[in-house]
Amino acid sequence: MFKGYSSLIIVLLFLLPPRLEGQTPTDGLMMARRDLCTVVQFNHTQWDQYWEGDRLRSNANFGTIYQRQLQAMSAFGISDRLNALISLPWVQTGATNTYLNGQRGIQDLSVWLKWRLLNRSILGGSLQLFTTGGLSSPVTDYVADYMPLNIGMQSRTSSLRLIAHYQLPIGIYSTAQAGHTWRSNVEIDRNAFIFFDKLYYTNNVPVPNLADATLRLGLLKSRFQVEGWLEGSTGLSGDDMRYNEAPFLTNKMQAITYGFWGRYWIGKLAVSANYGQVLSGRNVGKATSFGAGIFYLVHLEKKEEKNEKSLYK
Amino acid sequence: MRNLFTNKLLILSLALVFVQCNKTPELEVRAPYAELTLDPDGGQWKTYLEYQPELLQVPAPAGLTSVDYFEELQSLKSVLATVTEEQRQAALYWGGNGVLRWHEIAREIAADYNVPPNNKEDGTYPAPDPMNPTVYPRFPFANPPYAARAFALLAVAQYDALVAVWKAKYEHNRLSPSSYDKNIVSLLPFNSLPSYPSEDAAVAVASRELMKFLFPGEVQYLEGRASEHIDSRLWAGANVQSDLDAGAAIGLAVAQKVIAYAKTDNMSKANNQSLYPTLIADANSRGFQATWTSRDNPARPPMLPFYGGVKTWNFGEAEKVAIRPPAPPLPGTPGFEADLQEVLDLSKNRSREQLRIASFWADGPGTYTPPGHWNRRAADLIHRYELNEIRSARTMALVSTALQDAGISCWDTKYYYLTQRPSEVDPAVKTCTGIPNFPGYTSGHSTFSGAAAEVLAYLFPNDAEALQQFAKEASDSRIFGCIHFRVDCEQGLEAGKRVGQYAVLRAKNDGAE
Repeated sequence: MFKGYSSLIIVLLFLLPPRLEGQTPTDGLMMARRDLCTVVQFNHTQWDQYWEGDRLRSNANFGTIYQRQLQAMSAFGISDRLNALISLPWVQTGATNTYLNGQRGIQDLSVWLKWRLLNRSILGGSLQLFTTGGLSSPVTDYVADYMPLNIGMQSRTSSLRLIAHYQLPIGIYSTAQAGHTWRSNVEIDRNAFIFFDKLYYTNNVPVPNLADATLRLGLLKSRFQVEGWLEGSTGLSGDDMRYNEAPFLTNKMQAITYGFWGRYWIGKLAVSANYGQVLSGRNVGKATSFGAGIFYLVHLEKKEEKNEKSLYK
Repeated sequence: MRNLFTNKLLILSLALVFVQCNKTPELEVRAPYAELTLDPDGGQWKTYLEYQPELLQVPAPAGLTSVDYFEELQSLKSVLATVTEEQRQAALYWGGNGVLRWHEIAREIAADYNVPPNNKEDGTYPAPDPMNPTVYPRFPFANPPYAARAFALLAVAQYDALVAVWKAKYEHNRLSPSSYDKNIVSLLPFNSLPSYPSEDAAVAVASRELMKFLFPGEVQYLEGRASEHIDSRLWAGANVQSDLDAGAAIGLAVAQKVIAYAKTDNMSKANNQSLYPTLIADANSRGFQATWTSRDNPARPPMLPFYGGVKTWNFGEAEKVAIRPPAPPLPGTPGFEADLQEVLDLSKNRSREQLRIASFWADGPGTYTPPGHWNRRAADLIHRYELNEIRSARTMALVSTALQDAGISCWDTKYYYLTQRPSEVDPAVKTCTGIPNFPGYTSGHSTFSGAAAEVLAYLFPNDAEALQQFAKEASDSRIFGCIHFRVDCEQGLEAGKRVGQYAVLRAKNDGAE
């Protein structure tokens, strides 16, 4: 039988912008004008326990669930104050102990605009404020109603977030961000489902909107950057997973996650590594994730003074 | 300037936070309609169970010129004078066909209770306890055979009650209150059906009693729904109290009889796990050496291994044996290997349309099961063709009894041969839907669908072709899902049609045509 599981990945990787620091919708960094940075990132997330509502459990019918993601993402400096970002992931899911097929395929295309609202010196450091607006849409017709082995939710989303970044000249910085993601209803292949213990005769499923917030502490130098982060995210509506049943698109997912990230530049190339762990949650997997990325920076406009540091202006 | 912009942005983002899109789906609406025909001879139709006539007798109603009836009309008017908007909505809700409303309630509760119990620490599974229905694991586990029986018992009680109600209606011929008092305006479309005894009260009480018997953890909820259904007839201005009391009495008498039937239909023996080894030995003796084992982890006891012995509705023991399909090909034979190769290929590569079909018909845990799926389709047809209450009940009874007969026949076959699932034969076969916890041959979906489509195609000839296509699609969905071999589905569909034909035979002879 199809039994309970939960998809933290959805919270971690899909509906929040991907964690490719230095050029993401959630960090405190900007690309300089006419700079283009492209990342290829691999992530592996897995869990063998999940919260069914608030009850942590395992499930021998799945064993360990995993999700792998290979993602291409680009960030471009339209101006020093305005960046555009785009990403497209390929995702694969599976479990170690199930007779069910995993899923794999291209998932959702995302685009963002990131605007620096403020940049001023305060108390010997620099304070910057940003806002990000984003849109995403599935680009393939994958089956979303296949949790926990679905590769995505099929929901179109829009998001808005505010970011504050404070950095001292020695490179120590802190970033705080909060965002809100609106998610469209999705149409599934069935035409009846249970929502809050009530039976609805429709294929139109409400997917909860999301709120999230992150705090980061890090050190940024010309060749490398390291940081630790703590993040909270929550669905703004939705029901709990039903006892001993599969998760569903309507579930209210919550997670508190911490992690580390680091990147090292060698000329115009950089490599990164990341690690994340869910501390507590609701209707999500107690997931561990790790990954690595390769960055490539191109200056489309030749400037004499330009060097890698300009990335962090 | 920059600050102003920031402020605007903050306000905009806050505004967006509060402009949440609608996150609650719509509930199904079924508008009341004026029935095309009233079936005045409905009281002569054949019931499923036999009743002593005096059991269903109601007293003659008070005369039209009597003080009692005058007072009833006055009392109804005073109710109507204070009807709230909520009560008006309830009147319209129940006015959209009470028979179908109770089937909706049954489907919803069945879906809610269709959850296999979680295993205990020691790897065993707890059994639902009818004496403690609200303690986990709740009683019942409304799996497809249980749900099929529930829908059939509910439909039979409704139908038998309405036959008795119709008989009394045309004996006494007291029309609706608005026919006698021009100050009473019914909220519902008018018809000339005699209103004593009330068909709604009979359906409400019969349904309530059966559902309480089947889902003892829901007593309070069911009593609330039934009393709203009965009262809604006053709020609609459609019945006086004595109409309702007489209808309720008939509903209760019929329900008691149907419950007595249910207590002796062999369902209590259907889950006799201690006798399961005898079934394995019998299957072995028929040449099926590698018998089915549970795909759940830890292994779960087979679902209702003796459900095949539950009493059937539309045929007897000899017909059940005749309906049972012949033995499927054994592993190693060309027929078997071809079927295995088909699911192996499918499990590596399904089209999006095949995935859609597998998901649409999955009807697994947390759903109203395949019988519920067809029960819903029957209700949709009834509503589309605007059948009256007794013909609605007849249709639901014909379909629901055929569905339970299909379940019984299919379970009989499953535990006769005890064949394996494709992924059991070859673990390389991966599925895109859950594997139910019982043997493969024949497919339950196929048998249920074949039976229901056969009955509905007969009752709704305009839709016959589409219905048979749906049944084929439901049957194919299990191959696409790779949880069944083709032979499981094709033989199941055929057996289902034979089951359905017995219900059609009944329909031809029940006096309604």
